[in-house]
Amino acid sequence: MWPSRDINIQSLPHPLTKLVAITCLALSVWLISPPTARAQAPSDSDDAYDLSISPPVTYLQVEPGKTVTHALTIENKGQQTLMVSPKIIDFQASDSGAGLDLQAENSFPYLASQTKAVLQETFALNPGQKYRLNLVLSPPLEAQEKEYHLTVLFAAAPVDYPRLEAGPRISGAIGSNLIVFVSPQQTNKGRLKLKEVKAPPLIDSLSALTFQVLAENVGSQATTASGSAHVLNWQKKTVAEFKFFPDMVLANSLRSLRPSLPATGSANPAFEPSGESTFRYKPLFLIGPYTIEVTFQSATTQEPLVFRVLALPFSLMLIVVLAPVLYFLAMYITKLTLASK
Amino acid sequence: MRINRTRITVTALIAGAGLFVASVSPALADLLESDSYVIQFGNFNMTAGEKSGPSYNVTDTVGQTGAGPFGQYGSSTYFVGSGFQYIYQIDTFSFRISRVAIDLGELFVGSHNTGSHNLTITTRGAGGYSIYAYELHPLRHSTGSPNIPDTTCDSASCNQVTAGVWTNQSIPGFGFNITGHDIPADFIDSTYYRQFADNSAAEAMQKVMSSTNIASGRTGTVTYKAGISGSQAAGNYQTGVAYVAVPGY
Repeated sequence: MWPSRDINIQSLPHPLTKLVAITCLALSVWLISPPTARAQAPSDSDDAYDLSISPPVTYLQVEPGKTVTHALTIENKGQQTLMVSPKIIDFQASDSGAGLDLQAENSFPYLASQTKAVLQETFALNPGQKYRLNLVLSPPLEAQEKEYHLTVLFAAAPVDYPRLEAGPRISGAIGSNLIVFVSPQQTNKGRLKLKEVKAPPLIDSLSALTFQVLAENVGSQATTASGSAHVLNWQKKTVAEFKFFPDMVLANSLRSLRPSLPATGSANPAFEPSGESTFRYKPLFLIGPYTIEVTFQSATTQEPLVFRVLALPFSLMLIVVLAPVLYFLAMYITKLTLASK
Repeated sequence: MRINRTRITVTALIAGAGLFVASVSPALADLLESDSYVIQFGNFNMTAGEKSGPSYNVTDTVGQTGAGPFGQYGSSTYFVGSGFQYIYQIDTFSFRISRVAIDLGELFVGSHNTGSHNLTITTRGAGGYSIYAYELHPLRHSTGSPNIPDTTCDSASCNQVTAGVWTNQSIPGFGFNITGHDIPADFIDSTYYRQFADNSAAEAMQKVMSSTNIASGRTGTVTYKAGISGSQAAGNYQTGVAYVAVPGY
């Protein structure tokens, strides 16, 4: 129990005592409050720059001839007023994961004129203030079906910098990704195809069976990875099943898929979550041929792609080969030692 | 005998029914209304929220009628967030820089000056994030004295893409080290430095932190270092460094 709860102000006899009690109460509340809540941040120290944006990622479908408004909210959570300049640029999906490469230009041609005007303006954002940017997208009726990968960037710099002897002044930019699919049809046009399974063909029986799955979206719209990878032993029995994490694969892009947790009821006692995009199966001992079968759950499902891995006890064989050699070597050294004596 | 047995049975049934009524939780439903709206049959779910353990993070909603986000937050003319998972559409991506001015002090020949700050990212998006960095130009003296060149490190091996060891204080230049979460692998320890990508020379900005996973307060500490050669004037050198933080998808 905190000491402040034991103070009964009404029972205290004198107004001055009441004042002291209130002061004590306030002090005790101040003392038990988190340090960050009472820190007075100077202009050139902590919390100088703190921006948040919502939503971080949006997938929009716009029909030609119709208009859609997408709202983004940026908030200044720092201690200084920032001058903010919004702009839209393209990004390209990187091959290995969810990373993206920002481009210099903006290829989306269907921004409404009022949005173009707003993107030319710079605005001040005070501490604690929010700003809502409405992007109006209006592709004409004759617009071609295409997916656009865009990042809305808000470049922000403090209005006043502290004086410097020498060194860099820092500014920042925060982005929100906007994936826009211009199409008259509502059906999903994503088509996932297995590009590659990366796994070593030969592994040691005492090591883990690890592999990576690279998917390609050959369709015209972003779609969710859905499906699984099975590991079968030489008896064609499933020994491990990995559901794919439902990552988005953008149109005409590659993505290394990630394992989710194993499917319920799957015979997978040796599942080890390995993070990132590596699938890992590690029982006590691997032996013989293993088959990795990859299947996507979608209307465009192809035949499971099969990849084979052979597990042999190389490390044990090495020990069997080396043991007699080491034995005879030890015997020889012993004999030499005895002879020298 | 038969009456007694019937009485006992009826009494037991009544008692059981009473216990059942007393033990059953009341229905968690309510009529939600104000002057301008009425929501009929609004209900509260049984459980919802974020759960985590050493090897997992999960969000759940149990017992929600019609769970799921309906409409696109911020875009549609309506948005209904029933069930806990609607948070994914209204989530935020946050980027924090602990200091906006790194004072390296007055620079003198034969010694390096350093200064540092933190970059912090928070995002719930499963696609992760990337932070890029670039400089506007190399450190430039206020009087027009020659620039401090970007460092090439002790063995003239580092650039804006690859880090190298830079501890020899007689080697001038300007560069940075980063330690902490999700940093490039070539920053092996605090002695490894890189140049910033030079925007004035049209060099492409480079990633300094990135991850494909959910990020909660992921922090990198950037240390800036500068030193001058004998041909350069001591004094005040400045440039601008920009960080660009973008979420994954």
